[in-house]
Amino acid sequence: MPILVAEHICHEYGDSGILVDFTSEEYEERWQQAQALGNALRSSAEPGLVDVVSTYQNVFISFNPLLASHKSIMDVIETLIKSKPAPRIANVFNIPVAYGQEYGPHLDFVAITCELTPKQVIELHSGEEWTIRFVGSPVGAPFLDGPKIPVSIPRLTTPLARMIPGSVALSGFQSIIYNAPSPGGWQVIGRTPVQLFDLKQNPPVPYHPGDRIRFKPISQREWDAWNKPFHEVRL
Amino acid sequence: MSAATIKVERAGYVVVQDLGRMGLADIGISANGAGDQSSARLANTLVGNADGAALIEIIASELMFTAHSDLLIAITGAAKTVEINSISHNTHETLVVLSGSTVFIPAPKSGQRTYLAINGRIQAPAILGSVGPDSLLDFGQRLVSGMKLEIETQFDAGLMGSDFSLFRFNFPAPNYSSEIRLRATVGPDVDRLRSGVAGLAGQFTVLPQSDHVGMRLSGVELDLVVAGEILSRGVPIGAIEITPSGELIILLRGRLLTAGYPVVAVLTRSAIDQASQATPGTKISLEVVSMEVARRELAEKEEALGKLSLRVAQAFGTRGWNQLLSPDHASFSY
Repeated sequence: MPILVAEHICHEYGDSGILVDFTSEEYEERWQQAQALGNALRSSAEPGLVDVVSTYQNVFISFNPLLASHKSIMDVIETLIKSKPAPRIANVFNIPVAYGQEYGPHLDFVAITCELTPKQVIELHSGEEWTIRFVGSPVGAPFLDGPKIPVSIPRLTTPLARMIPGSVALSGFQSIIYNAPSPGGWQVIGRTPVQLFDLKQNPPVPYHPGDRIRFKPISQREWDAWNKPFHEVRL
Repeated sequence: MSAATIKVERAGYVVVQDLGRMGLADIGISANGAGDQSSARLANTLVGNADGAALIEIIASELMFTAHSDLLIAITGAAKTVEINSISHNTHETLVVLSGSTVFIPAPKSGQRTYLAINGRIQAPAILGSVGPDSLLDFGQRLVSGMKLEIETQFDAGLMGSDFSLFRFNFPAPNYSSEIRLRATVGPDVDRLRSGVAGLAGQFTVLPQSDHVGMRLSGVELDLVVAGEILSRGVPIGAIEITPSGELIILLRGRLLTAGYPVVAVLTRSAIDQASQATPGTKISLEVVSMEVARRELAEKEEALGKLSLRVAQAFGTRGWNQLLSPDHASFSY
């Protein structure tokens, strides 16, 4: 891993937040830098740090204004940004997905948008590994990119009030898994029977940014065999 | 510790609440918690609890309960008065409730969130460190009529005195009006407004579609600069976003952690509390202030609450009530 000396801009973001923008030319590098800074901040045990959200090329930090300040956190960022990121070995998860029909009501729309058949969309989505860029809301959702989607997929014109947990969806060139019955605006192409978010486990989701996911098409007949919490199925 | 009990007689939209789930952003869990954090902290401070202790949040409705034990309570936020056995008392003070009394907290005339803190510990299950509701986790405890709630408390009016006018802390109660001014600092994407922050001038109206996730505003035609997509990134509570349809949304405590809309300004912490009290139809104007002003405002509010907690501790100490003070009283968990 390279030593992290990253081009970046820090913004004061409200009276108790900071936004770091990484600005290097390379997308992959910006993401690595954002993730490395996020990890370093989380393990720094800096007093007053509340939340650290590292995404594609940003880190958002919120702090307790009684214990920290914009300046104290920015000083920590400048120190950490010069340090060498701790290497992490990526895990790969094989996630079973029932595509189309009641499990993926928007598969046909995605196929038409991409000028592909539904079968070709399934092959595209499950053919290569996706990288978890970050874990976000709702409830531990992995934000994925990977296979080359030919056309940016538009969001639903009317978001769904309640996604069925396990829904696997596309928007833009990204994919996501909805773990909770939240509202959502992405196009649902399938559903996994495996319950990835489990409050009885610590951490409640098994994956981290940088891990990879390969989707494995299953038939509806196989659904029941996989319909379990993640730790019982071993993917 | 003894277990005190209250029995809910009538409840509108009433939940067991606290300051929420902080520090769980890396697994995509939103903060939630009391919409008006300063009122919730104030209520707990007035009864000697830690500011983040579990308490009751009453949203745009009423609560009536019977005390089956002596209680020390405080009510803050939107309700201006409380009836204890049909006798009206001011809220925002520490009050003694004798066993057998009926307490009625009426629906507020302005504002929408009222907090009821009870000295001791309300018994309620928690997940991920909070008793507060989270619809995405399918978790929360709503009070319904007939329900009993247990509180571990050492308060005993027989031993400790039952005079209603024991306390007069005179901490200023907030005023909620149908026209409010919310302070904000400049956000990272303010250049999406053709005239910068000046583009936020004018009066907005709170739309009925608003909830604990976000407050939707209408009323001002924004002059926007067309610019590229923003990649999803973490957003603070209080972020003022421009939606694709050109309207403003103020993100509140149930907000998702990441979003890709331009953020033109961010409410100050106390403006977030104010916003959570604003009912649909409220007229809002935004006052953009420097970060220095925002920091000073925050420090002054914290100092005032800190001073109050010392006065509460002194008042309890004078009466020999030290055992009622939580070890975390006056050391804020916020």
